[in-house]
Amino acid sequence: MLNLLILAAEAPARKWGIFVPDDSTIAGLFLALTMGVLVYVMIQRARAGLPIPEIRRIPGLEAFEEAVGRATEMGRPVHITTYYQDVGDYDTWAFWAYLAHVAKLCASYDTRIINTNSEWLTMTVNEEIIRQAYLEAGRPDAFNPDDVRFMSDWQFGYTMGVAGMIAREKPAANFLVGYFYAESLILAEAGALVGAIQVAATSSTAQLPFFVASCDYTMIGEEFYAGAAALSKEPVIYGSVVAQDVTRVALVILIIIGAVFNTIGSSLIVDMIKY
Amino acid sequence: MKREVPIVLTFLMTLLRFCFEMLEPMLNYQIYEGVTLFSRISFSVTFMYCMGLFMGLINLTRVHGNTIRRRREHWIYSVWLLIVMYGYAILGLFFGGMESKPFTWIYDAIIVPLDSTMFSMLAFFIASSAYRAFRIRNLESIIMMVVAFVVMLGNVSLGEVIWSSESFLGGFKGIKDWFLAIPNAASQRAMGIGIFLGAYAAILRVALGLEKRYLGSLD
Amino acid sequence: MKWLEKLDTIDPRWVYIIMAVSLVFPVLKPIGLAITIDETTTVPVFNWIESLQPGDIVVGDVAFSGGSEGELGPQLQSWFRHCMIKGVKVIMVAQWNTGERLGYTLLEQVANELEAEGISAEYGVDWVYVGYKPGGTTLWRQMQLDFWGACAETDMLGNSFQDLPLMHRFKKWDKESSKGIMAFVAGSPGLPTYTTYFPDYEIYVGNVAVQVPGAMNTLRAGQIKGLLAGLPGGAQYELLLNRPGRAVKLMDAQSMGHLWIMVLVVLGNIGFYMKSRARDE
Repeated sequence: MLNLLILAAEAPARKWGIFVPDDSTIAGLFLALTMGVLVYVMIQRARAGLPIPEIRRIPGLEAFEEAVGRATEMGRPVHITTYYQDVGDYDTWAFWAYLAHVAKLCASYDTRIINTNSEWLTMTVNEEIIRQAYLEAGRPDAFNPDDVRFMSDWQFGYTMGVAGMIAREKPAANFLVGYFYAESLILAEAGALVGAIQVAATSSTAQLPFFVASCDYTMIGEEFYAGAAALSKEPVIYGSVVAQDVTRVALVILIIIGAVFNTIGSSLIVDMIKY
Repeated sequence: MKREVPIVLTFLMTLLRFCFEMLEPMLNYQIYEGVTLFSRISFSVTFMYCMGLFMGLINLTRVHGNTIRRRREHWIYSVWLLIVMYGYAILGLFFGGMESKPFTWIYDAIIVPLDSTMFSMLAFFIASSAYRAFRIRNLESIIMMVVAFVVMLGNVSLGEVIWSSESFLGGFKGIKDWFLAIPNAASQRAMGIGIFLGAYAAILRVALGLEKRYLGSLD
Repeated sequence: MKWLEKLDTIDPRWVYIIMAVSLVFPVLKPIGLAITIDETTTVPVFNWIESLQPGDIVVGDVAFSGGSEGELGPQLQSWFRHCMIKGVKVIMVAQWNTGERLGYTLLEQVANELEAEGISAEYGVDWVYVGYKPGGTTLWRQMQLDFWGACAETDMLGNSFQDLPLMHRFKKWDKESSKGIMAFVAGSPGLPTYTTYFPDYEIYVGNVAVQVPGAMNTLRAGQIKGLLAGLPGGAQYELLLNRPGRAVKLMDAQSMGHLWIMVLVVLGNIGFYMKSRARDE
């Protein structure tokens, strides 16, 4: 009987005639469009050479160069990896900025770089990026395709492959960049056991305690994305990071106003966000 | 064209998916009786996943085949990998599928215990990394240590024995609940907002063709 | 006091051996430490199933693999047992292909035990295991509109939905046909699939302990209604159901493991302090 009554009830009306009648449709659309416009405006400003704010110094970024330098002095390789991120993942796009940076450093210092992978399609792009880096450094012969390795797409198959590789090759620098899961601590401990300097950059909040405990530098959450933007040094990328920050400030102001409104008993802001 | 076509396709598919989520007429648009455009596109995504599986199979065979042919280091493991990969696939496809005893036995008796064993290593590694890393050097590390101990004891029965949740402040459990509900939730939300904004900016860059690394470019 | 300085550099092998002993010993010889039921996380999940009527359909999701089976396996089995005892019908999907077979094995075990006790847990009538279907979140979205079409009308075992009486009541995954979602998640894809695409549904989560801090803000915001937090959550659920099992048995081991880590941290700091003092002198 209750089901019949539910079926007989009117379906909620579409919002503004065409938008799906779910919570936060219009608010989400507004936020998406506003940020899109902001990104566009900041990128245009960057392209026109107008002044835009600089990204603050991120300590973890400097650690990359320090670590590669240390590996060069010790004559040991550098290892960089991201876990199971396919080419459609934004964490992979950010990882590529770090990979390009590390590959360029290794190519110019003539240091061996080992890249392990858990996703074969990402591996092919990684190989291309490292090859390009060696080409641009004028050392195409130094590029070794065997150092771009696919381990396994099974989480712990990959983990054991990387841990075993670290134990055998003893890299002096271990970069864990991307979104990690349970394998994070095993990889970091494997690096710690061979005395590698370790830098982690991740947007995974669940793995942060493990990285903070076992790595020398950890870049947290949005530092990972901002670091990728800072490394690419392109004005257009800078512009999008500035747009993010402006949106963030606006959201903080909205949160404060919403908290005040809620405290005085008004649901105006909540209703606006849920529209 | 090699770069332009993927960029245009990316933009169009992003726009299409965005419209499906926002516009109800698009979500319910029927290309013919009883079949919506969204369902056809979602099936194509399913087919792409399956094709990705085949491409992964081909790529693995190629990579490990090269390793075997050139007798590179540890080539014998590549032989074993190919035997296991094809053997298990053939077993599942042609000898009873998910219901076949050998197929399920290999999964239950080998894959699951191996997975669990690897996961259990975390217990040992967290002990050694906590021992190595948690040194009291300043005020922040003292606070972190105290909070870590409280949360650890609040999670287990031992904490209940030491300081019961019936007593003052709810015991370790009560304090742990407060830590999780207030400071932790606040920081998780803050990080979540930041991560979302970073991810959305990255998606916008790719959709607008500003990010080209996925095409193999260095910049 | 030189030996105190050595506490700063304990050989990791001793750390591992003592950890192994502290985990194994309580399993062989249980200590019997009391387990408290959490009113804010575990009880809402229990009350949800208790409040349902026989015949109501709920959807469960296996989003974990063998690695997390130690924590989520007992949760899944207790929850499923509860549903079968109450007469609630269960449709299981799996976001993880690596956990698909595992989830079925765990549920089949419980179903066989219940059948032996005379409680109905007939496949196709009381529960159906749809399993993993490739397609990611796009497919999960499609399941809301046309569940049969999205799943190609077959379950994990290859049975047609036409032959499964329970599936005739579940043509699309909406709020009318299912009375809630119970997702057992260990990573990605996992909870965000439901908080993004099923925002108005009753969502309950069984999580590994490491993800509980991340899930707490969704619980506080009301996006999820209840949460089974790791092994303690599973143990508490078993106690609420009055069927103590594997999770209850392992709680003592968890306590001892935690104790050893705390002792290690204290010893390490003593050694560090003594070394610093000796260096300053």
